[in-house]
Formats: sequence, structure tokens, C-alpha cells
Amino acid sequence: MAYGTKVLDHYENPRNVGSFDKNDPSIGTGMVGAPACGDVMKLQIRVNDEGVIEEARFKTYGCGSAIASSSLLTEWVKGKTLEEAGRIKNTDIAEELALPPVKIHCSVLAEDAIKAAIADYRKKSGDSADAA
Amino acid sequence: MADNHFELFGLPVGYQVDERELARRHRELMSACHPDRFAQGSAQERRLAVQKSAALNEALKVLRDPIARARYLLELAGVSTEEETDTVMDPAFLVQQMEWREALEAGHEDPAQMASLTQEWAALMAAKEQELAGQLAAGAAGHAQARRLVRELQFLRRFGDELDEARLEI
Repeated sequence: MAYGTKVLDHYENPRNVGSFDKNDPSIGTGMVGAPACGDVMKLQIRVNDEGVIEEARFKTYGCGSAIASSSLLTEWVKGKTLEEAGRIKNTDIAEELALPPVKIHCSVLAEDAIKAAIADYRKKSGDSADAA
Repeated sequence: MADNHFELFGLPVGYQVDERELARRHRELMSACHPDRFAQGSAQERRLAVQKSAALNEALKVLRDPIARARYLLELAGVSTEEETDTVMDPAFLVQQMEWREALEAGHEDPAQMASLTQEWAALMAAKEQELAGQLAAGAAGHAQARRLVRELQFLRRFGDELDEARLEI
């Protein structure tokens, strides 16, 4: 299948690949999988005290569209508040990358990954507040 | 027309399928609707024969693949595996899948690493397929677990393909 130029760019030069320490309280980790193609995606965010995402990292084992979707997302969420980042829709990602209909589920995966990372961060910061 | 793929071949609806018997019935039914038999027939007869053979091929494709067969059985029972839309999986399972892929990436040129990964993968694949058979035999009570297993087996199958590809590259 022919990939669009933006997908190829992110696939060949993925941004923000890597990992943070998932036990660090300022880190939120989202781990999701797409059974349709067996893709696995891990997305992590580093959040400051103001609730702003300072950095994001991803690791994705999957097709070009899944890698491009997560790479793009790490660029988009940087500097956003958790609320703003939580409003990113898979359709925004699919549109930006011009994903064909059969690859829409890759953008769904990315949206679900950021939602899971935000939920994980909130759960951790809530838990530590309770403990304090 | 038959109500489902199993009926098309005169087989009982269930996860256990005799694959040789399935192949034999497929061959038999295919020859009955071979285009040559309808060369003198009407346009409608020819069209029906083409439709029938397409249906037989589609049904065979589903029934001879254990994962597709399980997915189809769940579908017949009204349970969707939502493989395109539901991305929530057991976290421990996903962590393991991530670790396997990392291990493959790092060790695909190391025969010992490849052998141990392949062994681990094959054991889990077999265990999950066996569990799937058990859950499907339990009927409706096993549907939720069977749905989870079909979804997990998709990741295992994909990893199996990746192991094959890595082996070809050595």
C-alpha cells in the first residue's frame, strides 16, 4: 500500500521514540493494543505541576501508520494541558496523516493511548495525594 | 442457501472441525458448481454457480483457520470481537507482548535467543488455543473469555509471523 508523505516522514524519522521510568510520579503511561493487526503501542507523558505535558515518548510495534500516528501525537501533546491533550480525536490524526480507511484503527490506537496515559497519570497523582 | 458456513458443508456448528473432512466436502461441493457443468446452462444458472463457489471458498477460509473459526462462532452467537475499535487489553498481556517484540528486535541475530523466544511463543499459543477450545465448548458462559482469547491470539499470530520473518533474514 502506498503511504502518504506525512506518514512516510514520521515513519522514517519518528519523533520522541523511547521510554520514561514508569514508576516516576510525574510520568503517565498508556499501553494499548490493536487486535486487528497485533500492533502494540506504549505512550508516556511527563507532566509538570501545572498539569502541562512537558515531554512525550512512544514505542510502537506495528505498521507505518501506527508508528506515524503515535509519533505525530507525541509532537501534538507537548505543551498541552491534560484536558487539551485528552480532547485530541483520532479523526484529527487520521486527517493530518491522510490515512486510508483501512488504517483508521491505527489512529484510534493513538487516541486511546494518550487517554490511557492521562488516566494513568491522574490515578498516580490522585493516589499519591491520598497517601500524603 | 445455508444459514451459516458450517451448514454449507453439512458440518455441526462448533469449534472442533475435522479439517480433512472439511477439505473433502469443499472439493466435492466445488466440483458440483464448476463452471464447466453450466456451460450449456442459462445465464442465471451460471451466475448462481459462481455465487455458490465464492460462498464455499469464503466459508472454507473461515472454517479452516482456528482463530477465524472462533471469531465466526462468537459472531453467530452475537458476540463481536471488536478488533478494530476496542484497544483495551489486559495490561500484563500487553507488557509481555511489548517485551517479546523488544527481545526480538535486540536478539534476532542470536540463534539461542531466537530459539528461546520461539519456544515461549509456541507454548503460549498452544495454551491459549486449548483454553479457547474449552471456553467455546462451555457455550454462552465461555463467550467473554473466548472473546478475550481470540483478541490475544491475534497478537500471538502476528508475533509468529515476525519470528518467521526474522528467521528468513538470518
